Amino acid sequence: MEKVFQLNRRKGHVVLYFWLGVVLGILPPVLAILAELYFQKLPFSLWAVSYAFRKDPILWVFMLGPLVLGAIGYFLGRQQDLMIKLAASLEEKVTQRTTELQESSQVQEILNALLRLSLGNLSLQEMLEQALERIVTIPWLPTDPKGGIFLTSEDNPNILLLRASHNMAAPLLKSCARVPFGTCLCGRAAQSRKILFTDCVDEQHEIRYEGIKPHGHYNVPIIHREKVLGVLVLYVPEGHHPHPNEKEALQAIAHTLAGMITARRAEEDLARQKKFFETLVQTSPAAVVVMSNDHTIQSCNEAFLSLFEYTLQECIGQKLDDLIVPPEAQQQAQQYSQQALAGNLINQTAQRRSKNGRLIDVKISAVPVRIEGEIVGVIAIYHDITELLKAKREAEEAAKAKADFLANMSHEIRTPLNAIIGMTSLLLDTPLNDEQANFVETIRNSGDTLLAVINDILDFSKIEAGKMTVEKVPFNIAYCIESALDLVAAKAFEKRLELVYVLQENMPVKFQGDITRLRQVLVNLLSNAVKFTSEGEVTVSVAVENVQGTLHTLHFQVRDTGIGIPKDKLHHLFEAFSQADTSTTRKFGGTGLGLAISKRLIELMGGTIWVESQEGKGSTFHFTIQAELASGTASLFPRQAQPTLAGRRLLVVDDNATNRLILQKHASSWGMSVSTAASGKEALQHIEHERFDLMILDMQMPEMDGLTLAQEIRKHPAAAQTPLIMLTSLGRKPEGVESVSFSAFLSKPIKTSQLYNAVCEVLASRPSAETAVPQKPAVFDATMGDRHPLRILIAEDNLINQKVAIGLLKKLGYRADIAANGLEVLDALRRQEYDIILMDAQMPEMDGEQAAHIIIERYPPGKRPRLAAVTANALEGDRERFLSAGFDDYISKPIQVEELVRVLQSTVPLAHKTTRPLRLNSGTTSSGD
Amino acid sequence: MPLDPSAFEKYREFMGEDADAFIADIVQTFLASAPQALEEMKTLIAAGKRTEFVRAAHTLKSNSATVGANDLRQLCETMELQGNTLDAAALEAMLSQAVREYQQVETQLKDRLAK
Repeated sequence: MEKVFQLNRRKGHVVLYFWLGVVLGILPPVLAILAELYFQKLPFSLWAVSYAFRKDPILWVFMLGPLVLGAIGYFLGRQQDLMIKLAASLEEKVTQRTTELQESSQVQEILNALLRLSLGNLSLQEMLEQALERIVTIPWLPTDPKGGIFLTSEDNPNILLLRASHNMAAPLLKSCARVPFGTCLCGRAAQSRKILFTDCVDEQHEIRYEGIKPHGHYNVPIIHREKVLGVLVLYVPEGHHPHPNEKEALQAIAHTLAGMITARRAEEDLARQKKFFETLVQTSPAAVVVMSNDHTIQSCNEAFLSLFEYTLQECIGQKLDDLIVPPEAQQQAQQYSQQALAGNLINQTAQRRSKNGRLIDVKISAVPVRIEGEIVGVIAIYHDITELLKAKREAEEAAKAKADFLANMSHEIRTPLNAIIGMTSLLLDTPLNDEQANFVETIRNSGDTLLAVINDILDFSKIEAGKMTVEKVPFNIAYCIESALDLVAAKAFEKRLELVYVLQENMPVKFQGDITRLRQVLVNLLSNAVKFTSEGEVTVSVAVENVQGTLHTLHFQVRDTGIGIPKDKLHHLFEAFSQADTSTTRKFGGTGLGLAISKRLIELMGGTIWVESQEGKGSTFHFTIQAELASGTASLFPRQAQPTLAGRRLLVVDDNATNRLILQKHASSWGMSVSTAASGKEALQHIEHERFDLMILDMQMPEMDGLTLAQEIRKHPAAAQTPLIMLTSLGRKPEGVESVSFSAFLSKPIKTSQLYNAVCEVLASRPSAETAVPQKPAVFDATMGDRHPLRILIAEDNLINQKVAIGLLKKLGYRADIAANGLEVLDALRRQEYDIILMDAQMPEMDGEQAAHIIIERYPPGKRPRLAAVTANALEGDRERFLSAGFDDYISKPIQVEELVRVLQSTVPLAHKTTRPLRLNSGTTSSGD
Repeated sequence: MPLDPSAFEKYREFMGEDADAFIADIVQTFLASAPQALEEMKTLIAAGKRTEFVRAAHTLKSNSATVGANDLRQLCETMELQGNTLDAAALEAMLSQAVREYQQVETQLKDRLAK
């Protein structure tokens, strides 16, 4: 109806208004004619009318009326039509806009509804379903809307699973349950990540069913941070014209959905994890409690409640320490709590108390809980170790009982065994035939072995039973070591092993302790060393490692060059009844208790034992003991060098490097100046250009033995009268020894005290080689350079030291050359021969030691200048270090005149030795007797 | 006491009439080289060149011993022995102590030379 009316209004006005004008326009001429006729009193006739026209032509003007008014009507009508048209179009726009606004507000409402959903407590599934219900109310969808939401599978992100649907046909629910990416419309939308619109069932619509009705689709991918979460599918009528607003609205909805899904999934993950941990804590067999900053219990698990016999209500909000800590442990428990709250981990064992007063041994582990870096409480875990401790105590008691038994038994066995051994020894002294003697010998050896085993067992069980004590009486450590060495010396000699021992220089030797037990350990280690070494040497050394007041920590080392111990056996070594392996037992014998006993004894003496070993190279057993200095203790040898020995020149000849080092070390510590030679030949080279006050010769050397060397030395005029000390094994004097006059014989292992006594004795009666030089100046003066000319090279980078050395030498009548480093020394040696080099140890480019090393390599003994190390390091052992590095002598800085003179005097000029070999030595030979 | 007067006694006895010249030479060389050495040690600490630092400390130690500056020698020895292990701040503190010590030694040595 309205439309018809509108149509009339729209098209009628022009014609209507025109005719209305025309009709109205007729009126003025008619009225004008009538008026004219009336006023002119004319009859109403045609003539009269024409007369009037002629009489008053103005009437013609009135005749235009219809035309004019018709035209005016036409224009008015058109105007009216235009106005109406304008109004209609405006109305239409308003309607359209209103619709749009309505739609948009509906979309907004849907979005709001979705957001409200996301705030609720719904599960993801419920949320999706309800969201879909809201989404299908989009106004431009058909009146019976259909749609669904697909989400990607959590197992495979390229599979879409139908999670919610609205009015979808039953067959579709099944066929669309699982859609791979790229398949059908939703799969394609997911893959392309773009909204896919179709207005009909086309070839892309792969999933169909019988009786499918024509329709179109919106497939909207749901994307969160570049990740496709799913697809929203909506049905539209076939041939639907998509409006851009629709896509926009759908995009907004998909965004909102994406956010909702992500948030809900995260929440569900969290909830799942929380559940997981809660279950873990709740079902954990360990008691777990969470304590807040104010030390009150926030939560705890079942195990906690059952361990401490409380109910949950009794625990929550209570102070943890009040609840389970016995009064006597309060202070400590508070400390733990505070430490944990301060951010520390706690791992302790302690006693806690249950509600009913039962004491429980627990292992407590506590960790601070930090949230955003701030400590908000402590999680404490209690393990009930009551049973464990009980079992441990029982086991210990059982072990002790066993050890007690063994100790008693061993004692019972030992008594008759001693009788057997004693009687067999007596029996051996009675007249026996060879066979009987052999039998008795076997009985006694077996008895000895058995006794040793029993002793071991006895000791071991005594220790295990806690009955072993160590006494504290004054003893001499040197004597202890020497007597231990005596016990293994015979065996070592049999195997031709060198036995050596080194006592740290100047160390005190009198301590409070248990010499018997210490010796037992040493003998054990030494006899092992000898047992497992087939060639080479066994060294025992001791040094002070630490001093606290009078309490000394002594560090012993027993080193061998034996078979070594495999790495994997090392850590079992000190366990009872263990030898490196059983085949070792068969080959070498022994109870396997020795080291275990040693370990316990050492522990009793406040020390530890450990071993370093290299298979095939040998082992070093280290151990320490704590010992108080015995009162009135002095060093075995005075710190100050003995006047008789100081400056005396000693030549040590031994093929064994360790022995050389030890002799050198000892003699150096007594102030002697020591040279060493590794063979008889080398020794003879030494005496070619050097004089000595004393020589110590080892008897057993390859090529030239000690005796032959001594005979050679005696042939040498310079050394014909030099006192000689012979080193032998076990004091067995070799045949023919009477042919050479030896001053003393020393047996290996070298014992410091014996060596010292022998050297003192030999040298006490003799003036030193230097003092015996008749030309020796009473005061040092410029004539020395003339009397004893030497070519001297000073290797020194320090200007002041150079000046001091040059100044002193000049005063003695020497001119010296200077080299600033090792390289310059080598250059200088290439240019000319020097008799002596005073070499600074620390020089740039090449230091003294390096230079000495090269010189020794390049120049044979007879062609080589004497090398004197000059060093400002007054470090202990420096002297030995330089001597063993090949230097012939040692001077400490600042250079003392006497030392310099001593060094110069003991230097024989190289060039002179062939022409005037005896010049400096002649005095020695005569005055020595 | 920064300076041990007996350090040169033995030399003096031995050198006789040459003693004064000899000692003056040594002392002057020391006075000329020690400030440089201390300066260099400072630079070496800053540059982290510990090996060179230890060497420099060693040299200064040796020279201090020669002129009888026992306290300075002691300080240098400590720096030499610990030059590789101590941190820079500790060494610098020790060094500045050595510089102060040296200033006393310098005054005394100069007094000695003037006599």
